[in-house]
Amino acid sequence: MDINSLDVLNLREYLTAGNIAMVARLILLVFVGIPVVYGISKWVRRYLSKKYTPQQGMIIGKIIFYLGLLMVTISVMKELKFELTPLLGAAGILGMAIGFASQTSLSNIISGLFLITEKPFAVNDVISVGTVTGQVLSIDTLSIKLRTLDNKFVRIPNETIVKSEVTNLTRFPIRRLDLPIGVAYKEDLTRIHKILLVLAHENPLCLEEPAPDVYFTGYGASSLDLLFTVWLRTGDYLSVRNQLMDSIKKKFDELGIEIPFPHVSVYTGSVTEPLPIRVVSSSGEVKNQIK
Amino acid sequence: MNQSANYNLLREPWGEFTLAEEAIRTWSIGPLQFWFRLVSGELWVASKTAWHGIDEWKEEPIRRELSPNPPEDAPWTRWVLNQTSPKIRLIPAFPDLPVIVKPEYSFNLMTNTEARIYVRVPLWVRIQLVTDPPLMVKEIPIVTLSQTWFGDYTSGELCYWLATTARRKVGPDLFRPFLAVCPIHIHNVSGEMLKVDKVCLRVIYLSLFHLEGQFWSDETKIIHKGKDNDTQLEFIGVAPPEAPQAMMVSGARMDMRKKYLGKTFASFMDI
Repeated sequence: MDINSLDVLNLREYLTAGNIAMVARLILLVFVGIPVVYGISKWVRRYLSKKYTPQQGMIIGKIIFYLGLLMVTISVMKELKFELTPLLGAAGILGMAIGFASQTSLSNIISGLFLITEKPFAVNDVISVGTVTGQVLSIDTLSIKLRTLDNKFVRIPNETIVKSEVTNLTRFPIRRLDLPIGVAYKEDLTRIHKILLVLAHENPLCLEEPAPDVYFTGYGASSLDLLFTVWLRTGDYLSVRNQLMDSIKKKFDELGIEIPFPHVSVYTGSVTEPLPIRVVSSSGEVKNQIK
Repeated sequence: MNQSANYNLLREPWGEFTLAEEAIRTWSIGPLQFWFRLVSGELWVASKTAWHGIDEWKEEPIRRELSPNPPEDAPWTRWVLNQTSPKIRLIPAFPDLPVIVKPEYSFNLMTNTEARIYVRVPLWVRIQLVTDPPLMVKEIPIVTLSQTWFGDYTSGELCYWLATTARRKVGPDLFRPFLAVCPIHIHNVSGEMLKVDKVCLRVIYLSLFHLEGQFWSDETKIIHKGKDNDTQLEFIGVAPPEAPQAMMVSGARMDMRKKYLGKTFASFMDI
């Protein structure tokens, strides 16, 4: 390209000191500014992830990155002499439209921020939300992910979590196991009490303190109802439950202690008189009568 | 004399031994029975611990078990070794968690008063390969202890519950070769009475000594200054005054350079 081409395209007008400086500033903003913003957001994310939780680090890192990107964009547009006022107006209207359209998503994002600051549970905790029980795999911007005990993947929106009752099953290091037990009315409750406490003592995973106990909860329709409580480490809950139920059944069978199944006793008005039975043929003739 | 040499002065099965290929060696210590076997360069170990109250164990504790194979409820566990003729070392050790012990009768310690109690703690068998440095294979409790919680409902620590009681006096009639006698010296320097109902003994900081067939720990000094969280613990680190000639056979699981402050007496609040 020779010098005459430059005259034809009037490029010489543009090659002023001011324009060259502007281009240099634009290159600096884009090729230095963006990497710097990215680097700062990454550093903040790493720092906060170590100091607090990975989720908090991730969210604040992302906020810093997008804010930084916005500032770089505004600076580039100012350099290029774009008027920002009409743009802000349009952004405002667009923001309202997006806001109405994405109410649910925004609600989930804000709920997610509340979850991260309130910390009702953390990753790897086992929680119950409604009918779903599972281990928390991740706490994300819009939802949390659970793995159920039978290995299903469940996604629960953050808004649902904030509005619902959440039970954290693994928050505390120890937990109480409650076993309802029914024994026949003829059994000696003091003896049952001692047997159950010995079973708890013989299981090394049952904690000696807080001490196991047996509560009499009521006179059931078919049995005397007891509640056998033992404390154990949260992680041992399922295995101790199985072990204890098995050992209770074996011990009761060995000692002849009856665990009654639901049954109903029918009386005809007198406890001691037998129930009369009469067998009648289709013609109405009495074939047999037992008193 | 180093600890390694000290093991060999202990009665069998403590100390070192070699295993011949396919041969099974068995021992029992108190209620624990264990078997060793070498199969094609693999070390096989099986053990069975009976659930017994410590005070009930009166029979000769160490006897050679003639049964060549462990029962069905004591399966073999296997380790692949890079040696063809490994040398195995059996060392006594304290449990890996603190133990909670109740005195024979709870007592109240008046202000500026000291008391000395003795606790018998069941030992573990630490199985090592004699290499440089020694490689730990496994640890087996001689007595299965029940677990308990020392703390409150939201925080605390897991401990073992010691069924045996802490006594104000200890004599040869109470000695057992699989129990270590641990002297505890309690000093109440606070301005209030101290009720001693149970004590959390942090055995991971205790060293183990041996004298004439009996194991001892170094002395634990508990200085109660008022609230339970300010209780100060010191672990003396040398043979106790009751057995000054005892030799050290194993050091503490964890070294405690500073004085320990922590809960020692209280655990749960009754609700």
